[in-house]
Amino acid sequence: RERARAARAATMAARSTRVGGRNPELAGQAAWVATEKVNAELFTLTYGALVRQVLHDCEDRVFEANKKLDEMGHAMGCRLIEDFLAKTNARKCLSFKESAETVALVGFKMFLNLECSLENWNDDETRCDVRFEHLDPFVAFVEVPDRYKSGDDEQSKLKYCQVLCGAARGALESVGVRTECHFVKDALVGDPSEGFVMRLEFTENVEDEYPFED
Amino acid sequence: ARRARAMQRQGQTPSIVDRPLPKGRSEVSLSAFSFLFSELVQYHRTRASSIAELEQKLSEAGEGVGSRMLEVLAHREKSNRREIRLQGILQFINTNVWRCLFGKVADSLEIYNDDEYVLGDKSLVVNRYISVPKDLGDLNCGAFAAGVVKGVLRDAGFPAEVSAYYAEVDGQRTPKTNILMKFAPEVLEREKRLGA
Repeated sequence: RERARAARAATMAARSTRVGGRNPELAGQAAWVATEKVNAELFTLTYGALVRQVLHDCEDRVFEANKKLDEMGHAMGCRLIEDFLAKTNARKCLSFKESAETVALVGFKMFLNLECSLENWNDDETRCDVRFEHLDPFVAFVEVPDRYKSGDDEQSKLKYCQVLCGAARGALESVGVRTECHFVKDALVGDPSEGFVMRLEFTENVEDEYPFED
Repeated sequence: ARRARAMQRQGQTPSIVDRPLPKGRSEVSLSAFSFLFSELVQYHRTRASSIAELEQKLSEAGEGVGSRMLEVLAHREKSNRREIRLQGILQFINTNVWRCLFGKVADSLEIYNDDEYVLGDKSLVVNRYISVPKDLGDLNCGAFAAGVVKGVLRDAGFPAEVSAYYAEVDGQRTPKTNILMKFAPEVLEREKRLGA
């Protein structure tokens, strides 16, 4: 029955993306079903090891560590965009809203099986919040020590999931959209009942650079 | 979980050890893990001054994973029973740890010498999408998996030197990854004392 359901979801998604219909949730679900998977705990613990090593190498300078995590995410995003485009039949997004939906509802779903919703759009639809039901692939087992989450300055708090923001930013930049991306609600360093909310804000379109002078 | 709810009722934030342990059945895409792992390797590659140091850093990352997996699996799958014999802990790694992290049991477990055991895996997940450029010669990113094994063994009380190397297999295009464990003398002495 699972297989039948998956097959139905796959055909529906294919139909919706082929005909030009937009149903990112279905596309995300179909892509997730089709992808090869590994245990999430392997991912979680490897990511934890990465954060620990980065913090150690930055000698506990949280600001530097956050920046490094963002850079690493950005590099990952620039590379996984190819994988994304190859696996989904995604057509070109015509507005920032479509781009944001593609990243959040298709991208996050197919790579990390993350359920999220877009809310709090501003009037010109250039800024939104991505609310995650859970961020388990990153934060299961994780507790951030007090020394990385105290202090009034936001910069002195560890942005544990910054790689995810960097990845979204890198992927969007690779398709010509420059954005600003960070967590506005982070249950690891703030109020746990508020969950995880990421803000995605459009900055500018990236012009294609011509490799030669005309 | 009950304690977590009680604490929440009292207005205190439950600490992570009061929350229920995840069941371990959730998944992410292989791509996501591969990209993460590749970023980990790239990060250390720019900072390490030699291949040995790079493998050492990957191994250290793996040790953190292994040490935590031991605790999670001991509680979840083995009802907190502790392995005190060498065969027991090797079987635990071969079966429980490999099945949880990599989705299947390891392909082989052999003994080379009294103190050297080799765990073999035909297609280690971490090495799946890794191709080593010529200037990095002997690098084996399976050092990460070796670190996982080392972490489990160290925390279970069986300290060992663990490393990963490739072994060509007849009839297979990609080499198999072997994880060599060389146990410290005190482990062997204890085994002898506990009886054959």
